[in-house]
Amino acid sequence: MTALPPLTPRDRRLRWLSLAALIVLLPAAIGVRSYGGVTGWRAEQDLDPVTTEPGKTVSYGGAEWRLEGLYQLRQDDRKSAIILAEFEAKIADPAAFAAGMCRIKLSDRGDKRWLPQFLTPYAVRKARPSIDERVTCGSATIKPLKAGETVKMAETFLAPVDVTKFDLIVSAANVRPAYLVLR
Amino acid sequence: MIRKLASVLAIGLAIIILYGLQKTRPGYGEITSPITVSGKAGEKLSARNFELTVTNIRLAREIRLTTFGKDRLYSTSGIWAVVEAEAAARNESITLTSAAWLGPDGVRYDSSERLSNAPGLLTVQRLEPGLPSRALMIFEFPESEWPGGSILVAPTPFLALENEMHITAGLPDNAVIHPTLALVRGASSADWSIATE
Repeated sequence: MTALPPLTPRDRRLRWLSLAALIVLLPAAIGVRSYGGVTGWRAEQDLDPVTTEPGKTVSYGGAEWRLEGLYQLRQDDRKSAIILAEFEAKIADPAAFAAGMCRIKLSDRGDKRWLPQFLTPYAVRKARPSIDERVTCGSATIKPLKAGETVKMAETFLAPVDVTKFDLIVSAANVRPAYLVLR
Repeated sequence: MIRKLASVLAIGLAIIILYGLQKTRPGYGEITSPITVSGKAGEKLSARNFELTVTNIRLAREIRLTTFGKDRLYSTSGIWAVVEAEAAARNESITLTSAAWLGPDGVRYDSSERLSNAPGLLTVQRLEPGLPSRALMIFEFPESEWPGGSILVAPTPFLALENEMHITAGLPDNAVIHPTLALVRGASSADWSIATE
């Protein structure tokens, strides 16, 4: 074996430059690798609320949205109530509206969220027969619509009877993390 | 000479450290496995998205279930465990689609699909925030698996980093194994009672 030649000033400079490059490149590599994951995660979250005043319309996800009313129907168990939400959307951009694949939730204006019931309960149909003329938000996005058309929608939720103040949350896939709060 | 020896020692040390890290650090599967919330039957347990209390555990050799006006008897070569619980969502509506019985040797038995039409089954019930509801879990496993068994409950069986409850059943050594348990439907689909026969 032969002894290693002593390091020249150029070698030393290169060594320190390499170490300094690692400090920059390692975080950059982590950033590039996780960028897709972070943007995908953000696209699934409701982070930036767009809040309306009661009865007012607001533009969101290719339509003008308005909450028409929220109604409470108490259940026989005296603990729960069906909440019926009736709302409408005037279509401005049919393609953008359809791409939103509307996601609906009911909020207690705090941290609680209720998802819509899969089927409209019989008690609601009986109390409000006109509900059959309305569609759910999800089915509205797969319906062929024209610009200027108004879609009447309804969703039902099951919530505790003692919660009486709600907001309706509309979230569209192509606009998230912005979401709509219909008050 | 000393410099060479130091280099060899440094490489050897690095190999030892890397080998140690490889053997002792958790793998990717363990890092992303469900986060366990442990407790006992009778305790109210809280996970990130749901709360659950196991209120009753019964063992039986047969289950009688009335469906659409017809009585049907479900027998088994092992035993049935019928677990009653009270569950609620914490912040957002949720369905807990994964329930399993973990035997003392680590064998996992998913909830039985033979009684998929039983009332109030936890794995098909939507839980709502603020509305605790009764729920039922039914397991079928060999008789040797009930002593020291646990109940595992999670939103899904596979989701990484989701909470999974590990609830020790805590059945006494002389626990009764009923010949037949009758599941009787109540007024609504989520209402039932259990009778021993």
